[in-house]
Amino acid sequence: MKERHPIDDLFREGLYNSEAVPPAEVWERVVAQRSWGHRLLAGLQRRWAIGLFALLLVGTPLAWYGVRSDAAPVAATSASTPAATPEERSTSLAAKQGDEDLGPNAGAQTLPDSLQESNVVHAAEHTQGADGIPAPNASSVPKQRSNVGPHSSTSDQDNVAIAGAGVNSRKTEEPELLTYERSGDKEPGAGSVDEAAKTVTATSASIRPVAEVDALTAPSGSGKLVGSGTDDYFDMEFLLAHPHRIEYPRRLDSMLVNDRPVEAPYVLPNGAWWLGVQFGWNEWNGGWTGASPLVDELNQAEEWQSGWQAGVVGGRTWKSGFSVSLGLEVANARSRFLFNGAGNNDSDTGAYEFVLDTTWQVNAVAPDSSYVVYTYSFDLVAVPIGERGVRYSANNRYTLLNIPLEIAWQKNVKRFTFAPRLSLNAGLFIGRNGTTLENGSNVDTGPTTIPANDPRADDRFGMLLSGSAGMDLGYAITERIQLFAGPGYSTVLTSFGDNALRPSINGFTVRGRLVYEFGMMQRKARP
Amino acid sequence: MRELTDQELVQGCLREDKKCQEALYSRYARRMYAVCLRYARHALEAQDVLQDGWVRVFDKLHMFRGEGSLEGWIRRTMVHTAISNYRKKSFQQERFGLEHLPEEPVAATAIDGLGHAELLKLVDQLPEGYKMVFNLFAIEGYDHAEIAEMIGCGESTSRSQLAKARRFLQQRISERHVKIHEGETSDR
Repeated sequence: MKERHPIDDLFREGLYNSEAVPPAEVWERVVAQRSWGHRLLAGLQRRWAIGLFALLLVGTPLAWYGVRSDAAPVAATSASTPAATPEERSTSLAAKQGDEDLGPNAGAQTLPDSLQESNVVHAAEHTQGADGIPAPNASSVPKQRSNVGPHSSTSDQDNVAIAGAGVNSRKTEEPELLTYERSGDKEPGAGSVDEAAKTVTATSASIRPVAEVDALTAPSGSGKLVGSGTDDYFDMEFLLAHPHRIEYPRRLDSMLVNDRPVEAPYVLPNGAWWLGVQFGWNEWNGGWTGASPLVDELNQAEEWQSGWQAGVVGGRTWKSGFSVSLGLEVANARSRFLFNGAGNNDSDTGAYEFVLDTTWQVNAVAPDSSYVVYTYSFDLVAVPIGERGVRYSANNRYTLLNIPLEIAWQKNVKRFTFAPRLSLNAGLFIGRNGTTLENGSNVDTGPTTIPANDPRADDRFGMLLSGSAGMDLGYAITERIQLFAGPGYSTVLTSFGDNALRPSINGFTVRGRLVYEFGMMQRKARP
Repeated sequence: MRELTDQELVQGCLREDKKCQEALYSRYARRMYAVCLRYARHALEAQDVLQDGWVRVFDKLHMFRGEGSLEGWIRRTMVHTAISNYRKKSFQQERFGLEHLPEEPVAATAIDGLGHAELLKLVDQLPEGYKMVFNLFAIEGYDHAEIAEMIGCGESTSRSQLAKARRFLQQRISERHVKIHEGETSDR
């Protein structure tokens, strides 16, 4: 009963049928909001799972484009850089040794074999070579050139790789023009580094000892050699972004034998193998599908819940960032089974109920059938009592052996890795605990409960083929060990069992993976 | 030209006939906007609610079974849209010391001359929670159980807020009456 108040009535009378003219643009906005594009967008916003998938679709090519844009300029350079002449294959260095004054016109000198670490500044930059040395951002190479020295570079390629410069650490008043020209045969390890030479100017004031780059961020020494530390030579961003893609000698002098650069001892491998362990947690939805009459009953009775999986996985990541992996997992899916038995008359409970069965019989009396005898008979019939109205409850557990085949693509940003992934998974049921339903012996009795591992239910638990998509965020704990974690969505694509009744479950997954990477570098044989 | 009936408009809208949709909107937009104005904090929000409400009306029109009046169905849709909007705003209980307002009877003459605009203004002055409950109970005619379910509060909360809303409105109406009375006295 409503407790009306005079105030209520006052406002209802005054406001219930009131009108106000809305602005004209409201209708236009309604029309716009109901347009196809807007509704599609709104639908996507509501379903964050689809939004995540769209992010994967959009993010992957964008990230791919990002990597390609890093490599493209240098690749072009490699292709257009003219081959070095034999004369250019000598390495000279215009450098001041010891305490000698270093003037701008100092002649080119041969780089000593034993350049000391304290008076060497590395300023080399590598380009994409035949062996796949990755290409740092070529635009970071300074465009200054020296005209000093007989073997200065004459190349017009501004963005070719640079060699190095060696000076002492003594400061002078005037900027010292240091020229180091390096050229040589095209060597597999060095790639186009040696196809052209470039001079570099540097001031002693800007020279400092080689930065001890963290072994993680620039493993095995970065070929993106350290210059002034403030100029474009030192592209730490690139190093951090590609921690495991660059394998250069730490010291430039290790590249110089008899005044000539030699093949870099470490080159980028085509790929790296890795091994990992992974653990995942799933929230399952869905149910059973198929043409069987049990589908509806099972879907009402069984509510899928969460599950987990754990296993090992191994794979290979290529320098392009793509990786393929194969794993072996044990997975567990749980469900809650609740069934109100309509009666299981097949079972013999040992109890009976007595039913009075009454019938009328009409018998004509011979010979002319003009007389009829009515017979009323009644029988007391004993009927066995079945398991009527029994409530079955069980916590079902299904154990599967999963074999996931996954394709992922990785984009590294400093220590972090962004990795969208797609995978196919074959799942074999290796254990079933709990209760399920099976058709009764006749239509009237309805479904009956049977143990989940009953052979009669084997057909419905055939091999499952499921697909999943997700996105991982990785973090490099050490040089070789990375931890990945991220969400995903998984759904059963098909089943190879009984098509009349098969599980069709899907759900969101959170997965973690710890990876150990092998063979990050390849040592090239020295000539 | 014969005006289309509600049923014909519904059929046209179900066929995504733009003219029928616009006709339906034109027929009821003004009343629905007045409804939205009562629930929203300001006109812009009311327009947003009106827009979302009409989109919902057109999307869900197939669910209208024709058992009641179309206007009532649209009105309920608008009210539910307004409530959704209200719940999205993460309403915080507003307290204006209304507990201390005495419940005093409103003089019969005080309500004379209260027009639509003034009533609307009074409702608009209510704190958010009170306004919602008062609108739903006093004007729309929902009971407390329905209100509690709609806005996700307890029935007792609904009753409490309604009582406070009434006190607030009584106070404001009385103040207005006093002001008018004082004005008339000074004129003389």
